[in-house]
Amino acid sequence: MTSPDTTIPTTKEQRNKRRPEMASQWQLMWWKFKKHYLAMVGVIALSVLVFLAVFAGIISPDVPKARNNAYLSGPPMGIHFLDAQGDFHLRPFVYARTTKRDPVTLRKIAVVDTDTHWPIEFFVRGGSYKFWGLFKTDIHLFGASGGFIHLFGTDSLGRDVFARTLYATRVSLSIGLVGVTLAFVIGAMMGGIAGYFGGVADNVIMRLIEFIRSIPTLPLWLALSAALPRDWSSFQVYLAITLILALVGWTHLARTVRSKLLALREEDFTLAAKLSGCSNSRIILRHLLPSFMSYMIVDVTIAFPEILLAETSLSFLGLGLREPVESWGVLLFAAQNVRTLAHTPWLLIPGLFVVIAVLAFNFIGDGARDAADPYSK
Amino acid sequence: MNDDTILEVKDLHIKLKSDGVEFPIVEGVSFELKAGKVLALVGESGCGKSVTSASILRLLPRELDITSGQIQFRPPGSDKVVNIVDLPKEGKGIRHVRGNQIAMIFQEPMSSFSPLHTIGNQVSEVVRLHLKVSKKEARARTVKMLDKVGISDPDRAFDQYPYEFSGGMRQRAMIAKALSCNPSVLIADEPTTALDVTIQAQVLDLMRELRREMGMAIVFITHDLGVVAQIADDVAIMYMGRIVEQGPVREIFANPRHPYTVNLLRAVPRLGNLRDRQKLTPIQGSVPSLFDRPTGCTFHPRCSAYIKGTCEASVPPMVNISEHHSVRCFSPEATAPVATASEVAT
Repeated sequence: MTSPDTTIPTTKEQRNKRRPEMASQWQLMWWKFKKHYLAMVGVIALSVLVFLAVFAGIISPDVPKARNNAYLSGPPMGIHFLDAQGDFHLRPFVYARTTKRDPVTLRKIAVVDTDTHWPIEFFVRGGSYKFWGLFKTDIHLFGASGGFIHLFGTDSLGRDVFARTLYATRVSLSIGLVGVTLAFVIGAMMGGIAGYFGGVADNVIMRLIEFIRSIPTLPLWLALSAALPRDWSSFQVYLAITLILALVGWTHLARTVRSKLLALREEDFTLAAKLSGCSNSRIILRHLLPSFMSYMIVDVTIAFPEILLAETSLSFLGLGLREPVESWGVLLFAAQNVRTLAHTPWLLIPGLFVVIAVLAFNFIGDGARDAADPYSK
Repeated sequence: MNDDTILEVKDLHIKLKSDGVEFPIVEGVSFELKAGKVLALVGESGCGKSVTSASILRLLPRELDITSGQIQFRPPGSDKVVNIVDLPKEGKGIRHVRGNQIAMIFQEPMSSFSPLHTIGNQVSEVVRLHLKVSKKEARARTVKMLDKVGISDPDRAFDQYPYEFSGGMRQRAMIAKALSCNPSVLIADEPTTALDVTIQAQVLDLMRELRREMGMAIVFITHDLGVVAQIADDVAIMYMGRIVEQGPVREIFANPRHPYTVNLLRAVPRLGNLRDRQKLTPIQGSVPSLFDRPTGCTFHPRCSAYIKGTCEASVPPMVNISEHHSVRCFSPEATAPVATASEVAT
C-alpha cells in the first residue's frame, strides 16, 4: 500500500494548481452578490462614505472647528463654471460673498456678489490638522483663492457644515463599526455558550436576552447614557456609548448563533472533534462557527444601521456624544428647533448622510442574505 | 491489573436519568483488554455496548451517568494506572487521553467529517493537538497516514473535501485520524455497519493489518457475528446491559453456553443452510423496553432453558467454566465445566 516514492508538493501554488475548477464558497457568494443591483449601489455609496471619512482631513477645505465670522449661518455656496454673463470659465469658481446688515431685521446677512469670482484652487494651505494622527499638515484638497468656500453652508457660529459632516461621518461610521464588532463578539460568545452547552447556561442566557429585548430600547439607552459622568472626556464618552450600544445590540446575533449550534452540536463531526481531544472552545470556534459564518456576516450587516441610528438618535437627544465631537447626531442636534429649520435648512444635510448610510447597509445586507443562501435563485 | 492488561473495566454501572427516575442501562459490566488484542462486544441494538464504549472516553450524553465502577487505563510506557471514571468530564486529563492514547471510530463515516474543512485539516488536527509538531510536519505525517490506510494519491486527498470522498474512503480517513497519534487502544463502534460488504471486508482487512503493524488493542463493537469471527480474539456477549458470556472467540463459537449466545449463533444466516431451504431460527420475542426491565436474569422471558422460580428471582452470577470462558446463567447445562482434552480421552 505504501508507495515510497510519493513526492510531496510543498508549496501552496503547487497545491492550488490542482483545483482550478473549484470556486470557493466566498467566490460563489461574491458572484451572486454582484448580480444584486441594489446591493452594488449600496456598496458604492458606502465606499464613497468610507472614503470621505478616511480622508476627511484632506478633503474638507478647512478644519471643522474653524469659524468664519464673515459668513455666519451662510447658505451653501454653489460651484460655477458659467458666470452671470454666460461666459465659460475652465477654472470653476464661487461667487464672492459680502456681508451687510439687513435694514429691517438688523441681522447680518451675506450677499452674493456676482461680479467677483473666487476661483477654486487645488492643494491649498488652510488650517493645520493631523493626518491620521500621524503628522501635522495644512494641505487641503481644494479651497477658494481670495475668499472662502462652504459647500454645505455654515452654522450659526460660522463653522463649515461640509467639513463637519465629513468628520462626523468618520465618528459615526467608526462607532457603528466598533459597536457592531463588540456586539458580534458578545453575541457569538453568549450564543455559543447557550447553544453548545445547553441546559442551565442556555436557560439563563435566553432569559437574559428576552429580558433585554423586553425593555424599550430608547429609555434603556437614555438611562444608560444618562448615567455617564458629565466630566468624562469626549473620548471616554465615545467608548462608553459604543459599549452601551453593543450591550443592547448583541441579542439578535446570539439567538442566531444559538439556534445553529443547537443543531450542529449533535452532528457526528462534533463528536469526532471531541474524541480527537479538542477543548470545547476549540470545537465552537474552529469547527462549528465557520459553518455559518456567512449568516453571521449578514446579521452583522443588518445590525449595523440599527447601531448607527441608535447613536444618531442618542446624540440628537443630547445624551450621546456632545460637542466638540462631531457625529451625525451631534450635527443634527443643532437642527432641533423650527427657527433653525426655517432659516438654515442646510443644517439638515448630515441627516441625508444618515439616510444614505442606513439605506446602503440595508441594501448590502439584503444582497448578502441572498448571496449567502445557497438555495436562492 | 495484570501487566499485559491495558484497559480494564470493572463492575461498570451506567444509569439513565429521566424526570428524576433512574433506569439502569449498563449493569456491572467488567472486561479486560490485553495489549494488542481485539475484544469484540456483541449484542442487539440497545444492549448497552455503545454506551459502554462511549463511557471509556467519557463521551456519554448528559442524561447518562456512570454511577459506579472503574475504568482503569494504563497509558503506554508508564506504570501508573489512570482511573478514567475519576477524571473530570471536560478537563485536560481526559482530553489528553482522547485521540492521543485511546482513539475511537464510529458508525457514520458520512457525517463524521465537517463539510467545511478539508480532510487533511481534520485528520491532521489530532496530530497538531497532541504532538507538538510544525504544520508542515503534521501535513507530512498525515499524508503518510492517509497512504497507510490505502487512500490513493494521499497528497491530493489531503486538500480534498469530505464530499469528494466515498463512504469507504471516509471510513479509511477516519481510521487514519484515529491512528495518527499511535494510540494504544482503539474503540471501533460498528465501524463497518454503514458500508457495503466488499468495502466492509477491505476495512476489516485494513484494521487487522494496522493492528499487526502498530500493535494497538481494539475494542470492537458490533452486532455482526461474522465480523467478530474475522477480527476478534475475545468476545463478550451483552444482553440488556450485562455481559452474559465471555471468552475466546473460537471457544465461544465452538461451544456456546448461554441460551442467548446459542440462539444468536443459530440466527446467523449460512449459505449452506439456505441451499437446503432451511429457515433461520429467530430468537423468540423481542428485547424488552428499557423502562420495563425483567427481574432477575433479564433474558428469562425469552429463554428456552427458563427455570421457573429461579431465573426471575435473582441475577445469576458469572460462572467460570474454563480458564477464560465464563457464562452468566442458572441452567446447569450452561455452566457445566468444559471437558478438557484429557477428560474426554478417559
